[in-house]
Amino acid sequence: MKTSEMKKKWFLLGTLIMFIVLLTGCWDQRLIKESRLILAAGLDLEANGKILDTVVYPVVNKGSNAVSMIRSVVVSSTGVTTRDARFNLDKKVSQMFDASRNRVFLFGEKLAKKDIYSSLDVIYRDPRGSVNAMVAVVKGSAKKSLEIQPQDSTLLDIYYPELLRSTSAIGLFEIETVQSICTLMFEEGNDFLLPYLRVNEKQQRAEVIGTAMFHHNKMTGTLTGKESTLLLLMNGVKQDYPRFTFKIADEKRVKERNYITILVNDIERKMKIDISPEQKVRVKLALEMDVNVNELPIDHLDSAAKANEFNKTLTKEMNALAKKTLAKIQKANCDELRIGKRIRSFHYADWKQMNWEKDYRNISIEPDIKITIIQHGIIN
Amino acid sequence: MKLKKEDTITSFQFIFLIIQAQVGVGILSMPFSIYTEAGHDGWISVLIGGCVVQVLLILFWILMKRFPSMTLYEILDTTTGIFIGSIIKGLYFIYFVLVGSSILSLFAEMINIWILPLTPRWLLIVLMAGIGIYAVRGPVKFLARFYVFVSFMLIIFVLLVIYSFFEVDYLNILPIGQKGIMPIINGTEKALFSMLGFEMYFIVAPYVNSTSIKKLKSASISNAVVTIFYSFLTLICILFFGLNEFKLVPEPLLYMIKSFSFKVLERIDLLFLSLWIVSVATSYMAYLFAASRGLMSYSKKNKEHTPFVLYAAIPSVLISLIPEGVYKIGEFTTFVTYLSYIFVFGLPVMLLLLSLLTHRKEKQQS
Repeated sequence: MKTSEMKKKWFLLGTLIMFIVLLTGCWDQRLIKESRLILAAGLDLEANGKILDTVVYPVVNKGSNAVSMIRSVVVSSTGVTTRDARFNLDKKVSQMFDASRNRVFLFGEKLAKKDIYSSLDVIYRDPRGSVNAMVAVVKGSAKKSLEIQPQDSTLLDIYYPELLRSTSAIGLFEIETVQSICTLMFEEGNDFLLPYLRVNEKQQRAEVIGTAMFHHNKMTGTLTGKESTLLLLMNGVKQDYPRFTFKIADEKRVKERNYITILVNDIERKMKIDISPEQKVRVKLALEMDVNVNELPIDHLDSAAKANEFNKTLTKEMNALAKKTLAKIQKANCDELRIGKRIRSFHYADWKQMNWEKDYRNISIEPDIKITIIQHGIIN
Repeated sequence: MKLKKEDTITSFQFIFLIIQAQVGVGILSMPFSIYTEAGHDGWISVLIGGCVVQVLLILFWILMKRFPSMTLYEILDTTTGIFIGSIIKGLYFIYFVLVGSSILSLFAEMINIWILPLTPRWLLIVLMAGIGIYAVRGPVKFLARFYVFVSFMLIIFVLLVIYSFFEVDYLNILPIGQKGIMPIINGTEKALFSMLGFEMYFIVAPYVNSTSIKKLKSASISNAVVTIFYSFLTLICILFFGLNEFKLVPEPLLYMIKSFSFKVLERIDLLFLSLWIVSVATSYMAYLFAASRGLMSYSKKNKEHTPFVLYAAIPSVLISLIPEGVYKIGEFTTFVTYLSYIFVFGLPVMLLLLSLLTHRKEKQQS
């Protein structure tokens, strides 16, 4: 009896040891020290139709006085597809690439205007694909944007996410990731905006100059920063610090005195869609903004009556801007306001009769913006 | 009769036993397969599916009430006679083994695709089967306790999914019922397939130390929990993916969770998959138990299923190794799920009719 129990114990021990050996996962270990972590990537379309893939990865250099320095290394390579270009990169660089930690994808404008889904397909397909990387479009080439050396941060893969995050806070756009645009690329009647950057080689910086409008998987136009901010508000999204500067006077001597800067505190948006029996769509977009005056060198807001005057001027200016912006997005066929989706959801019978691809340009969107100054800083 | 007196479980444990048998390998792809049929009304299909399961459970209950201390296998022997009974019992054994191997197959494939691409399939299958054998060899009450214990993981599961509410678009489910009623009914079929596991009622109910009506109550609670859980998962996937991207993602739950990232935990999909593995293990164990319990019913003297576990596990491992690649495995699992029409819906109902017509009942010992 005792020996059989002993045997059983030994057997159990043996099994346990075997499991330890088997469970180490020798097949699928990936060590960070053995891979090049890509933290930012740029994609461009070459003149011959090939894809130019530029990647940034950090390299740790042991300095002379025991201080290790991290710096970004940029390499690029071409290929017929994104993955092909990446394979060609792998041939040039020591160690294997690991793109699962990628933070930013920058698209060259040329590629964005053609198709962004095809370049991203490889990321959607890969279980380790970095679907939560941010996406932006660069005016000119994405390669150039990764070759700059901004002074804010030695690492580009920190610079770009921070830049996009801070610009998003002043209300130019909502941050889109590889995953969030995937849904929108396939959706009908729901398009998106991506940040639109420009490289300033002299200052070695990139700057956000507005947004790129997309329709399905193609970039179809651009908006300026002011237009993007207003569009975002008309879409019912208020970021932390959306600001506007308007010209309100025409004084020759001190030009600075002609402007007012406001910060939007609170918004209330209402969208009403009317569809006539002949499928004529009229969208009424009511937007009320409570604003805070940031800068007003020309005058002082010492009375409610005065504030009211400014309310009127601002409302007029804002409505004009809204009309311009809406005309632009309709021309670009970019349904950022989700009007199509609303029609599909609430007026399905009409939706079936419509061809949104064509009809969107012809609907009438009537903005009605009201601005109320509710604060003016700590002086009048 | 054939049960050991001391190996019983409570009706509370019974709830979790059924839930864990139902929630399993299919949960990752369930919203997708329902969506392909029912579109964005898929969540309604799940609710209807739950009602169908409830009706079946009531039928099961009527049948089991007539044979309170018997499992499906003994009922077969009593109602259809030893000869036909043995054949049907054999078929049930094969069915349970096939379900077990389809679970193993899908599990290994999923792990291969999502986390361990280089690890050989056979190893994953053997590891999973090893856990199954180890757990099922013990008495049923151990199994039940384990099921109750691991059920807290379902809560983490739900919490992870709830996080996605930050990134959903509520317009996606509108307009409700736009394509009419037929797609919803077709989706119900898919929903039923993912709810399989409630047939454990047949095998485990006599082990529950409780009154017949309480057993039905427990099973109904688990059915309600699973229905609401599944409906919620389907709904959230629809809200997240919208109408057109959904067609591209066969494992929507995992895909959705993959796109989130917290400060501390970057790849939540790995955490999610680890929890899912436990769910897979529990449903594999349930089927392994059902199969080995079937073998036991052939033996006159044995009153424990323990010695038969290996005979059920080995064929399930071997069969699960045969199909390779997503398409072959898909075909295999579809075949197995269609078998459930016979074994979960057809045969039990016939059995009930037969026992009602022939007035056969278990003889009361008192």
